Amino acid sequence: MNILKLSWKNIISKPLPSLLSMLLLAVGLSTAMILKLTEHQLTENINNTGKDVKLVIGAKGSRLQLVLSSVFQIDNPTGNINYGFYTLLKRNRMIKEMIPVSMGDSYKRKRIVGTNHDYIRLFSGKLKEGVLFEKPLEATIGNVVASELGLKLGDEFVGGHGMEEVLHSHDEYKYKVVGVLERSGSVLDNLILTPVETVWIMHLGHNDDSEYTVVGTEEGAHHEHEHEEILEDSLPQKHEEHNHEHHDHHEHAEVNLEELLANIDPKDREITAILFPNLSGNAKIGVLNNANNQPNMMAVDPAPEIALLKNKLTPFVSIIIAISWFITVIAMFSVFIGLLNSLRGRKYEIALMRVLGASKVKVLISILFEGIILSVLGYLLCLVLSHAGMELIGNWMQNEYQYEFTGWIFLNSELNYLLVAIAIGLVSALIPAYKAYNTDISETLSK
Amino acid sequence: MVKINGLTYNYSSEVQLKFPDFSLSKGEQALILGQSGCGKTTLLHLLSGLLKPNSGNVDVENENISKMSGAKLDSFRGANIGIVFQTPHFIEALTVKENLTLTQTLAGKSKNVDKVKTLLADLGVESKLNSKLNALSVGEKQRVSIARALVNSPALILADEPTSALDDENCDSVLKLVSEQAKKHNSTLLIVTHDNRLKDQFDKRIEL
Repeated sequence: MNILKLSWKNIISKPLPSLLSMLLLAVGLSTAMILKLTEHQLTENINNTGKDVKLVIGAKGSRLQLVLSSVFQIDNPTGNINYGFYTLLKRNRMIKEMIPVSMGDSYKRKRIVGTNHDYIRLFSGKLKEGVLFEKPLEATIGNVVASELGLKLGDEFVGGHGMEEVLHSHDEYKYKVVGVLERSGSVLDNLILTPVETVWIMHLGHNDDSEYTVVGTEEGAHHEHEHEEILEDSLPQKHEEHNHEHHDHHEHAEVNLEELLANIDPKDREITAILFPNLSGNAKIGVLNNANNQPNMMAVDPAPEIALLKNKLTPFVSIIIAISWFITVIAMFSVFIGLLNSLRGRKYEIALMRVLGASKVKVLISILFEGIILSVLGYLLCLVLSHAGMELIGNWMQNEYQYEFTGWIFLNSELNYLLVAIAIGLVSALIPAYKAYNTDISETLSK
Repeated sequence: MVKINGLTYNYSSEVQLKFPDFSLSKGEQALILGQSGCGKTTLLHLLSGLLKPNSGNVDVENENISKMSGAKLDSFRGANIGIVFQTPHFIEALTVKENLTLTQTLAGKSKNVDKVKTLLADLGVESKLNSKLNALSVGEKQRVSIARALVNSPALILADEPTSALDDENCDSVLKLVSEQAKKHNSTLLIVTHDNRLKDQFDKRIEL
């Protein structure tokens, strides 16, 4: 029987107060640790996603919203711009690479993005099986989309208008899964990728002033319906109320997609944004000026917007961190009061230890050990709580923010929390230990 | 072996205790008798080094413990003095065995479970080896307390009113056990008591 074992036995002989102290400590520390884990993964995701996009062009509106929606796939788009501007810029030899992005639709809360293969390359996406989309209505899906929705090669599905909830189904046409991407931890995991032309086809007849007759549909099968809510929610630029004719496309089997595309008026060929990787110097300035001179367009450099977002988040993060440390301080008092109460009942035992040959220092160490053991156990409990909590929160955040957040990530800085826990244990045990150190043996034994 | 000389202890300027000189040789057994409040427990604490005398000396095993202090005194007490208290107290979180092996390790000796078992068997409580203390009767606790006082084979055993809480039957039995075990370990035994039942059982008596 050594001092460490004695301290351990003293702790387990009072399981409830010990558990309460450990739990309080664990809750305080794990709140701070979950924040750390979230912040780490969020920063990594933001940096990894944003680092290669040097400029974004989209519809006029909130600059941050444009960056969040088109680069990070978080917010709703600011609106649409004409595809003609993209084709115009393509003629500019100074621009090495640009990626069209078209959004607004989803399938079971997974965003459908009309784009080209460069978008997949931008996020270092790799095919797990199948091929990359080539034709309209073909879809290459992210790994999480495949696993969560149970989609596999050859499966067909009907997308809908709206990103958070489908307000209107595009049941005229079905997407077909032609490829599944490997898990990359990027936005790709949660996206359904298809050519931009798919989006135009899906929105035939849904654009302002546009009315298309789909090949193979019966005349007179048209019906009217209103869909201003849809546009309000996903395409803020198109707020004006309007009615339009909606075609009955139930005989779409006979639809000739190429012919259909050829018939789409150029002014109705829209995309949500254009992403520019590897754009710098004069080329960047030129594109910026060009876009900003357009009446309904703006060009945004993502880096300052991200920095602004981080600054906006800082006060909230600071408040949560302060709360977590407040809980931790309460936990420290709990350990302190627990040890003090425990010692009050064990005064005679302390005196007895001294009679049996234990020095004052040995008694002091035994009480400090109790504080340290409680805090180390609290830390271990904190590890379990924080990583399990992060995993739970991660699942929710993945759905909300399209990024992978996991509890199965361990940071070196977690060891700092062990040091914090031990320091808390030591500090809270210090006064009780000092009291034990100064126990008057004779007086205690005479009572 | 145990010798006190000119020993005084002052609780305050008004309460000053003076103790008679005496000495006991190795293995000798004696009673210290006196009414309540005469300083019996104070003397016992002075003899075990728990209190420092205002004057005089306490020699145990030829060491003047009244001049010792700190860890040296603690260590000396653990190794050379066994104490049986009036009310047996233990470390409640531990079992009987753990209480006794802790006594060995705190005195700087190595853990000897065989010795613990033998002692408990001699005292008739071997079946309580792995019991928690709260599962023991008062009589059983007192026997375990005696085992604890003997487990390091101390040169001096001090017993503070060991029988005051016991009935006649248990009183005789406990006294017999303490005395026999002290003889067996060749330890000097000094019993502090006001219990008149013990008066005639020891040849050497020191009146306070």
